[in-house]
Amino acid sequence: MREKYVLVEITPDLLPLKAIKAKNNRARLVQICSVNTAEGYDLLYSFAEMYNFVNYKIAVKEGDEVPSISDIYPSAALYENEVRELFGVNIEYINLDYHESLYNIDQPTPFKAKKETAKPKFTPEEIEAMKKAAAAKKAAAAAKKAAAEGGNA
Amino acid sequence: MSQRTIVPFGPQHPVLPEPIHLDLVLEDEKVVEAIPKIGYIHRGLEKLVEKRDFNDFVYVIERTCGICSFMHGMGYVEAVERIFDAEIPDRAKYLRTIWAEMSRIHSHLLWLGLLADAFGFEALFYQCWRMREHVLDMFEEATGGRVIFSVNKVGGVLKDMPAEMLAKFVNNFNAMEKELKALTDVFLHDYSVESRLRDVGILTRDEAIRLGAAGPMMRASDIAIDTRKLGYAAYEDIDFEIITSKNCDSYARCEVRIGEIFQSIDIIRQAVAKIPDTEISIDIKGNPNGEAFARMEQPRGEAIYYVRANGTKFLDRARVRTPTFANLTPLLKTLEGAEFADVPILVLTIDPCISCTER
Repeated sequence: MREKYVLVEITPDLLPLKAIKAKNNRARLVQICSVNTAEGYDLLYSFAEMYNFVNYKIAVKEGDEVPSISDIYPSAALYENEVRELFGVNIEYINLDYHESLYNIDQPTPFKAKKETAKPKFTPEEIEAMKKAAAAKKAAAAAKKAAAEGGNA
Repeated sequence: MSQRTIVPFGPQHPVLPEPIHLDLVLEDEKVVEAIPKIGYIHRGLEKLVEKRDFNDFVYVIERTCGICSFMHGMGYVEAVERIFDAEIPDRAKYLRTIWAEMSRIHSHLLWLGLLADAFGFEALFYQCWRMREHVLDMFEEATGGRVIFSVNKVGGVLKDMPAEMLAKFVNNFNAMEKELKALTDVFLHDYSVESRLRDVGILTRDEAIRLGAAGPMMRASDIAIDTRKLGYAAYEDIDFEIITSKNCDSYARCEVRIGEIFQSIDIIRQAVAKIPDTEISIDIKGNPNGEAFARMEQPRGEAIYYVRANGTKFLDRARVRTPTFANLTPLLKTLEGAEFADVPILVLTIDPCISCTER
């Protein structure tokens, strides 16, 4: 048997209301997760009321503020710190704020999608130098071949 | 007036070899607040999904943890199978159930041993780990691996267990059950053990819900929720009662885990009696496209797997919410008001797996 669950897309401003409603229904906050998208992030908030599994998805643009629900669910603080630290999602007013130090990692926001850089592999000067080197190598090879053929004759 | 001091606990501590740090704010010998710090060994395994074929990622996700490695693989493949809307053969479901319950037995025995070691009862620690070795021997006989045995695949399992082997394993568990009864009686009735666990680290039912406790930690607070009741794998065909305790203390957590060891043996017996003779896997063609959640009851509690696929062989996201991560906030609550000497026991009673947390 496969579990049936609910996955609903909501706007970020509705999130605290949904969290309060879930709390009033004695649901547990079971996870918060972030996924990179083309515009920014999808955040998924999962609540479990006994065996009912309800998930809310909010789409967030890069740099947008997301309200913390850690005042409603204290356990949200660790998840929110994790999402902010690994993905760079701008979650504000977390009640236990680690200020980017929950994880001891060298690289900031390591899970954030890397933007494709437009920087070419070689500069025009380097390409020109490589062309000249290739031409010189070709000329040297041709001269060597010609010398070898002259010797044989 | 009592004096306030801050005492660091971990990341290296004799009771807990894995790195977690707590700043304990003490008033004399009482803990008034605990502030956790994790991330000393964060590996970023979830990120690897962007560079590994979704089939090969099973081998990565199994390495999240050395204790519940089988169940990490199982949770991930169940989420991917859900995206494909694939129904795996019944025998594969039963084999997954049997291996999952064997994992639960060895995990709980490992925890009981560590708990005994934490309160200085070394003979009990040795006995628990000796019993655990029997389970690992059975894993080795069935799969060739003792810790990570890589039997899950998207679409079923890679290895079968013949009927003779299953019968032998049931006999082994029957023999173990008697020894386990004697062993666990010490945990439940020995005066010195009870004195360390009774009324220590109370987590009420309301607090467990509010703080998002998971697994035995939650069931020990009298909340009858067990994700196995969702009926994944072969659990819909298995008859079992959820084990809970009303005590809400460290003793209750010990009691629940001990009850679950015997329950797992019973589930294995039922599964072996009912296992059908079918194929063990199906071929799944193509690449997944979509998103899905899967929930599992691991030894330490409910684990949540989320997978988002884009139609290529590389997934956009594979997320694991491990039970230890969920139990960190309830742990902080149990530490408030505790005696300083009880802190190591309280940290242990959530059955912490930092390897899972630092996936």
